[in-house]
Amino acid sequence: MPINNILPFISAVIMLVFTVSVLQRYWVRRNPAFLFWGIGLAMFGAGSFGEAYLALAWSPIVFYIWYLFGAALNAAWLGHGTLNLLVKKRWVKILTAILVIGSVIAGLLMLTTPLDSSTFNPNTPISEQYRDIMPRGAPVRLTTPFFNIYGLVTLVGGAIYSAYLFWRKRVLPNRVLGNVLIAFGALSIGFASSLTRLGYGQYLYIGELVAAILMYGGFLLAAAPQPAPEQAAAAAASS
Amino acid sequence: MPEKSVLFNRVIPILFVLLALVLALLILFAIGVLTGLVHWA
Repeated sequence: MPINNILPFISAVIMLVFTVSVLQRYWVRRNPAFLFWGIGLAMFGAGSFGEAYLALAWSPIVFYIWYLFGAALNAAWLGHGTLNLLVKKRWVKILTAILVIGSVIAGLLMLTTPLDSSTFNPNTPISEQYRDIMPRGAPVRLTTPFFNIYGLVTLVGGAIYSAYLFWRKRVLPNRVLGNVLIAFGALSIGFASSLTRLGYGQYLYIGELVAAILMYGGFLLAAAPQPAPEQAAAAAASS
Repeated sequence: MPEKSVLFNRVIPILFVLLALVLALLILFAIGVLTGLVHWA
């Protein structure tokens, strides 16, 4: 089996573990940021699973899942989780409404997109052949830049900003490093996705795997328990 | 945080600059997509 068919399986397993960790935290702390991250990570994992499945066989439902969750929505939901920690609640409510409505519209557009599977080849990564399966100019394809740009700016920008705040106050080095890793992971997927849009789809799966490893590592590092004095300093830094 | 740490005093600031540059490049790419200069769909 080609390496590009194995990488999405590994990414999907990492994202599954990552999703469970984040949703467990939401269950304990009830912080909406964890819920949005959990949803975004579940979408990321579903997208990776879709890639892995489509390397074995064709399924229109799996293709819909791969494109909607893996290519269009996941970055925006992940970034929205980060935004929850950085902006006022009124803005969060407005942006959450826009994100939810936009995601529903994208889902409906995806379900009404006719697919042409006659050219489908399981030996070619789906990221290299989806353009031939979906009609050129399909409305759902036009929505993906908006979701991905929002996700990139909020996830990467938010992680850099958080890391900078802790670094400037010289507190919680684990959160500085954790957020730097998360930013690099998110940039890795953003870079790989951009290459895919330019016709170099073979780099998408390694980009996703690097993103999954870096973001999970960053999350574990940033979420590591701290002694009480460090926590008080962190609260002061983020206020 | 260690006061004389090379990681935090030298490496991290360089990483911030690097991250900001790559993010800026990707935002430029995104602007290219939104303005139609880069083909997306």
